[in-house]
Amino acid sequence: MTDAKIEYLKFVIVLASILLFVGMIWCDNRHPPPSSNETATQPCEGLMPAWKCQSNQSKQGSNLEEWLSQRLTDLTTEVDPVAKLTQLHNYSGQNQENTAPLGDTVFMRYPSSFSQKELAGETAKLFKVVTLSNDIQFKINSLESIAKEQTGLLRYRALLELAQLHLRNKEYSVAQKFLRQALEVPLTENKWKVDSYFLQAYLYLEENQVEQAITGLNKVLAEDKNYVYAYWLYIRALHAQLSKKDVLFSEQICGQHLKGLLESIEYTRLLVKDKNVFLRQAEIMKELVGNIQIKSFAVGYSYLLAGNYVGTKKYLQLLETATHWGNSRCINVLLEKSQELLAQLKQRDL
Amino acid sequence: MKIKESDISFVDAISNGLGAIIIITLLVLFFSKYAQQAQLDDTEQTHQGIAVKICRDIIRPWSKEYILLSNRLILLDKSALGKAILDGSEDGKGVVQGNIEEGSFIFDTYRNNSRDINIFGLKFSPDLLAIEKKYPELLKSDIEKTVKELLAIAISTHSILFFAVYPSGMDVFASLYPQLLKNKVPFQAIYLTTEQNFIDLQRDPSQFQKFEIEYYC
Repeated sequence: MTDAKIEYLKFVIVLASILLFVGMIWCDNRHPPPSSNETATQPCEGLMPAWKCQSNQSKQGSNLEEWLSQRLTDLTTEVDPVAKLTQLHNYSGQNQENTAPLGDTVFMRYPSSFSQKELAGETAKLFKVVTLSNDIQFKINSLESIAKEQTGLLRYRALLELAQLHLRNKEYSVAQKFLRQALEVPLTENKWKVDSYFLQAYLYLEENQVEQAITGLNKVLAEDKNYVYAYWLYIRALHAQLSKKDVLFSEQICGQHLKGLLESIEYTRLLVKDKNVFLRQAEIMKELVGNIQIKSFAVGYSYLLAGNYVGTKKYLQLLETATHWGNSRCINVLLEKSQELLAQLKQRDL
Repeated sequence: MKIKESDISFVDAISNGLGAIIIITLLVLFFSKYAQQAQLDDTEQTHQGIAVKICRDIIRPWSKEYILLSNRLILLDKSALGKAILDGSEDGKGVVQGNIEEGSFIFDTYRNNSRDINIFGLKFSPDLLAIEKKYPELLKSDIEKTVKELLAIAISTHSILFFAVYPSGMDVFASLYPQLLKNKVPFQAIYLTTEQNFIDLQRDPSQFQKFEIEYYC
């Protein structure tokens, strides 16, 4: 071989590797057309883009995929997503007549917790005056005296109120102390303690102990399915958890948490009759710090549930520019599904 | 094989070019993620120029109620009200009636409402003659200055301002209104007349069906 040919060969090799590198990046950013049957046929190997192959953990991972596919189909074939969600969650509107889901305590959310005697007594009157007052010291003194002198539900309610007061003043350790005392009061119904567990979860989240927050909130939501504030905190906690790399790449947990997050959005849509309140929650979600793709999808999903397709498209389109390369499987499910949904909405001129 | 100078420099140029392309690609990927974040951060204010958050507040929102006349701004003394309620006695229906210096009140303990123990309804009727006797006149500029200070306090203590405005006070309130909006402190205002002469304060389940006003927390 002559020098010139060697030189030419070197040039070709280098140029080819440049083109290969650029091509890899470009191809990886392309999404398959929605009708493509190419997906999930070959096992994932090496640098294969995740959308083109089937991960060997797919059995559990596809839970999210199947669930989300079905959900999106269900929600876009109905004019009113609320009717469909009601059906999907076996949600009985009759239970709703007596509940105030935006109530800040379980006693506000449901009737008939306190006895008639408790509601008519002098302690009740003092509770009401405490609520009326702006004087912090008066509030603390009165509530502490109630907590000392009373037992049962009245004592619990005073301790809960004290915890909330100190929480508002950002005195977290004092709040925690009162919550512990509140949880020690023996009550006849577990449901009555959900607010204390909720506040504890809030404190856990403030201190970045996300797993404990999620455990606490699971307990809360198991007892009280109508607790809107708990769902909102749960969304925040799940998003924080999902922003951790090890969680994101654990398919089963990632899928589970994502499903929990999206279902929480669905429950709040059902519970909060005021669509504006629901949409304002979607806007608060924008301020979440962490995984931006999950956040965009959650906000877009909220708009879908509110029947606001402009908002849906706006937030799901943010996912279009996201690359699949290096993503976890569950994120790629979100990306795929959002593409499908956008295509569907376009097809139906929505 | 002889290696010529031009060979080395040519391959150098190509490998530098390759390195540059790799770096540019990485930068583009990075900035596209950044642009995504920036788009998502575009927060919209939705409530009349007041940026609001929905938040949790077990205790009735910390609020300060003010009665506004053309020449007076009076704080509703809830401590005095509280004391009068505790000292007063409930009638058969769980209602306490009484007076403080600034006016009369009717306090309903909602005995038959079996929800939270601290549910109540309070109707306060200001007594304008008594108020004018007790409090000195203020200039419009004094009132504006006071409201500015109240706004600062409200922001730092996370409380809301509530104005009960009489017809004579409308002029002053009109000048305060833009300031209130600008400072993004949640506030409420009601308009009183001689016929509709009461301020309603309450905590009851109907407030928790939907939010009428959002509060800072």
